[in-house]
Amino acid sequence: MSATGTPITNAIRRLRFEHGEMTQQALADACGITRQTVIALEGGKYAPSLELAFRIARTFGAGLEDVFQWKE
Amino acid sequence: MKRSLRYAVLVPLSVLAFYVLFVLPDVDLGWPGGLAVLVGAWVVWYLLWATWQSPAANAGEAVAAISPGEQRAWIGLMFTLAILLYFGLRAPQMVAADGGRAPEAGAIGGHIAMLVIAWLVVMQVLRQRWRDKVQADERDRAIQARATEWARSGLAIFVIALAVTFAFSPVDRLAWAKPMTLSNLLMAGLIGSCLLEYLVTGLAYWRDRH
Repeated sequence: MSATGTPITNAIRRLRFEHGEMTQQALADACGITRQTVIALEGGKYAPSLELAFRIARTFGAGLEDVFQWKE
Repeated sequence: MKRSLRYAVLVPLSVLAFYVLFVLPDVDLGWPGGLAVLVGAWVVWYLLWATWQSPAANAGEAVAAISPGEQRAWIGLMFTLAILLYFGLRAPQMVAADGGRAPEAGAIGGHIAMLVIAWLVVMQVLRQRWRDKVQADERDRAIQARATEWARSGLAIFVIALAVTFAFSPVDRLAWAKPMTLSNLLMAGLIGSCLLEYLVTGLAYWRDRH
């Protein structure tokens, strides 16, 4: 979990590894984004739109707040 | 050969190739010489391109490969910079003594068109390479929108500066503002705004990777 440029943190990296070490490219393909956007998300450099956040959460079969959290 | 060494050799060679092809006053080398220079320049540019591409092709999961949007931005920056440099160096030759269009203007315009065509060809080749991949997503569109805003602001500042110069300068100090000079100045402003757009785009992607 990490965040440097946005108040939203995420557990994408952990969830990828819990889902059979899913690659960044596989997640990107499943969500219709580029691999570099996955890298930016994991690095906390980019906060996704609500639509993309839902798509990522659904890819992992998780709820939105299981993937994204607001940093207090 | 190590990548850094390849860059050290190829970058100066590519600049030299650009200079010989576009900036050096016309020297008649005959058709074999001319062809050799043209082929040589393209080989150097291709090798530089291939060197730049090679780490992305071998990148593992940990290495942030360059996205299609970022590649587009850096290539656009390179070509726009080349066009602006060439235009800046040759623009005075496009102005005739009476301030109109000089006969050399056509040939200079042709060279610029050649650079634009080369740019389009490179982009087409890349588009073919990326045809099975997502080429742009919401992050690319956000970066693009921010860069467009910068370019528009840059162009607005340029136009305002030009307007203020013309409005408040004494007429005798505007003798330089001949029709062809003004035309070149406006074109340079337009190319400059494109350059700013590609620079902001490239830097935004670069910042996200570091």
